[in-house]
Amino acid sequence: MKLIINGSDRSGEAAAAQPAAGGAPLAAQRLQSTGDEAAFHEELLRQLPARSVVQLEPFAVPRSPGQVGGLLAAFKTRVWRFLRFQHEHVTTQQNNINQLLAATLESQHRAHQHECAALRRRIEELERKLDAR
Amino acid sequence: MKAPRLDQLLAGYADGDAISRQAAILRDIFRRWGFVSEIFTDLAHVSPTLRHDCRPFGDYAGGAGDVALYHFGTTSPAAALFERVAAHKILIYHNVTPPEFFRGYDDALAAHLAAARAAVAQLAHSSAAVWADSRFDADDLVALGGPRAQVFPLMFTPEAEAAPNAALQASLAAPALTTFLCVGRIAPNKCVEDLLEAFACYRRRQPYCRLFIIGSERSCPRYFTMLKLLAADLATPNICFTGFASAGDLEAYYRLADVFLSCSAHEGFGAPVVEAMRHGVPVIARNAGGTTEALGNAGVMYADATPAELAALMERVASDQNLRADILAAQQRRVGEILARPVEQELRALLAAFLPA
Repeated sequence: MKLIINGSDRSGEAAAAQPAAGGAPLAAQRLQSTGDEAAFHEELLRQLPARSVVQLEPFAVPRSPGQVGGLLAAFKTRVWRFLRFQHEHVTTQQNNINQLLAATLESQHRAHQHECAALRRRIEELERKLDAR
Repeated sequence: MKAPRLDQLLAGYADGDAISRQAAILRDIFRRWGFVSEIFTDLAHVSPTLRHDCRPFGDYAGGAGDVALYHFGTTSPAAALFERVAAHKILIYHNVTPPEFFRGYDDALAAHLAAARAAVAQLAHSSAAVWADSRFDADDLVALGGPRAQVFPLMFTPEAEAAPNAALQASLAAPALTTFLCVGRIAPNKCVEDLLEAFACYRRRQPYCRLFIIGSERSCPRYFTMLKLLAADLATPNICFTGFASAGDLEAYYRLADVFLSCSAHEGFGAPVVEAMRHGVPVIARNAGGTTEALGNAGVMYADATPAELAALMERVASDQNLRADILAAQQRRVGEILARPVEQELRALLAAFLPA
């Protein structure tokens, strides 16, 4: 890394502080270099089923610094145990709805693509016939 | 002899837009000098709060001997009007983002940008004078086939822009959290994805932190979608996309910030970097485009950094008090230089050929 601080080149310091590199590429990064909108939509649609699901796995309760932060985090963790039963009932229903919507959207997109392709073929055929006259 | 009018043509006129603010400052100077001066723009692209402050292109009535300044940043009906005006024509080149950044996210906008970059050279050649915000912009115009522009950097007024939104500032106050701030419209050339990845790395090392990304997401919705998905993939909480912020809200965010970040790969000048320096927030910015000139010999500039390297740099600037003090002192000097610039003298010299002695 090249580093300039207050106009002075201090790239040497940056090299000394270089930490380890990151992990595997993320799904969203596949949307960064699609090249055109059609490819972007195709990739977005491909990712949609996996992304439309509400996660049910336990998560780390955010913890503020200090003793009070620790007590609050412990309290939130206990409260969450009580809320979970109702929460998972609701999220399961939401997941069913999301999956239905994602499947409908994908099916409509495919049908639209087929319709467009058929129309394009028909226009080309008609143009050929016109040219032949 | 009748005094000439000094009018300005803009593609749009909006709150928080650097070009609009530049036009308003110029108009106020021209009026102070005693000239009639108006801003003419496409009313379809005017913020509701600024409707009273500008006029439609159809009202433009400048003639020979007047001066028309055209702020060029994209394709607009202003170009056709500028081409046919009888007034002395001055083109101010604010840079047009290369279309490559937008391909895949907004192909129509990419085509507009390509058309604007193709058209600017001819417009510039047909102008009596050409100005640019930075040496970077002047070089860019030459690369596009245009003439060498005179550099007239963006202006900054010494008075504070607005009072901070005290309620917002109080509601977001969290001294235990290190606050990172990024300001600018959400567009692919800003490389916000680099910032998200670096912040995720930083948070793995220092969990008590947050990132505010301030700026309208309307200019490129698909890019914004990608960023939201990336933030979700990174599983990093405390990434806050706030959308457009009013002047008062922006003041509040600057006061909350510990470090300002700009990963932008293409900027004509980089006005938010100067605003951050004015607010006493240490700046880390990519060494690219006009940002380099805006920072001068102040702030921290990086290039070719991995997310982990950028995260390490963020950690250093946020926590090393001696380094922060050095950076803030240099930034204060830089802001002093920018505010002490003899703007009106520079303007008089640039306009000397078109104004009565």
